[in-house]
Amino acid sequence: MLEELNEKFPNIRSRLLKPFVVKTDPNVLTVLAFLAAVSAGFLFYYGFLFLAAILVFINGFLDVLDGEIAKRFGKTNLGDFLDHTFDRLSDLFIILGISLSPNFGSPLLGIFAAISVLLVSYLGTMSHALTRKRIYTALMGRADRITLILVASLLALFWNPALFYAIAIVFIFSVLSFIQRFYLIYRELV
Amino acid sequence: MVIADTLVSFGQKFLEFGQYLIQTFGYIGIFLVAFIGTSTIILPTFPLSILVFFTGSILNPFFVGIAAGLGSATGELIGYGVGIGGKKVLLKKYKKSIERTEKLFQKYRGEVVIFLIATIPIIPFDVIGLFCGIIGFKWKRFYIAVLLGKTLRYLIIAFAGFYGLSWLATYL
Repeated sequence: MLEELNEKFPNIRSRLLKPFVVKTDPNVLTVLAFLAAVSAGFLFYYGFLFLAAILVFINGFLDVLDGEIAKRFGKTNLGDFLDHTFDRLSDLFIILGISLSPNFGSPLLGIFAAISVLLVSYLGTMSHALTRKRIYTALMGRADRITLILVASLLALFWNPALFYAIAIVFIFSVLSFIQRFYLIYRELV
Repeated sequence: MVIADTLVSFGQKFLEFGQYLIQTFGYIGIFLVAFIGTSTIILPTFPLSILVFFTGSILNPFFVGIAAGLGSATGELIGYGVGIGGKKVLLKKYKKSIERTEKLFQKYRGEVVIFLIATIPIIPFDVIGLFCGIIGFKWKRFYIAVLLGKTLRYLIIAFAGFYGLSWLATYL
């Protein structure tokens, strides 16, 4: 959803990020964003929701920033590879950290959510490999997911089930995004 | 009173979390405790020195020191990353104090300053991580200096735990 908005109005994100863009190696930021996600995962697991939310925010911020810096100063294949790989690993740490926590209640839901997120990304890669086109279309992309989890973890400080509902929404919308992408690639190939 | 109680229970919960990680993962647990503890930048988390001190008396203090040094140096990189991201904004706001510290970095080698502050915590180290990100200090140099400083610091604490020198740990 947010990715599609960004495609339609690319200037908004660039303008918002302009005060933060500096000339630096974006790959370093990619790895640092991943480190923040690892820490967030462990903090979620043990119920330190506020600290975890801050690290999710740092993860999202550095992730968006590395893309913007790469766009401004030149994209590389290595950067693309690192960004996509570390994003998926970050997703796993965050989602599994939340859902394997003893307070969560349904670890299976989290495992299914993690698998569905990876499958959506897998179809993005398949599309690029088979049709030479990038698909960013998805009912729930990474930006939506991170925003939802961030809001839910702050809400969960006052209302316990917020994270459960957030992971359930991630699961449902990722499955729908998978179906959506499958259909788009299928239509392109037949 | 309420705030003090909350902070105490927060500290206790973190102590339990640290013990859980170390009991479950051993040396990797120490790495994780150090990494998570430093990744939250200025927000307080684990009483890391206390955990390293006690673990040094149970496990091999050499490996305890190495794991804690490696973990905390890696965690400090997140503050460094936030410094890069906030460079323009922070430079505008804290121009004078940043310039003053930058001069200190130029006068004495930056790596030496980082190493010393990582070893002897005169000021909170997270501030230095942020600062290095802001001035664009090379990340490899930053990481190596922090790694050496923090490892030395936690080796001393772990060996203090091993030999039961609790007075030494209070200084670090």
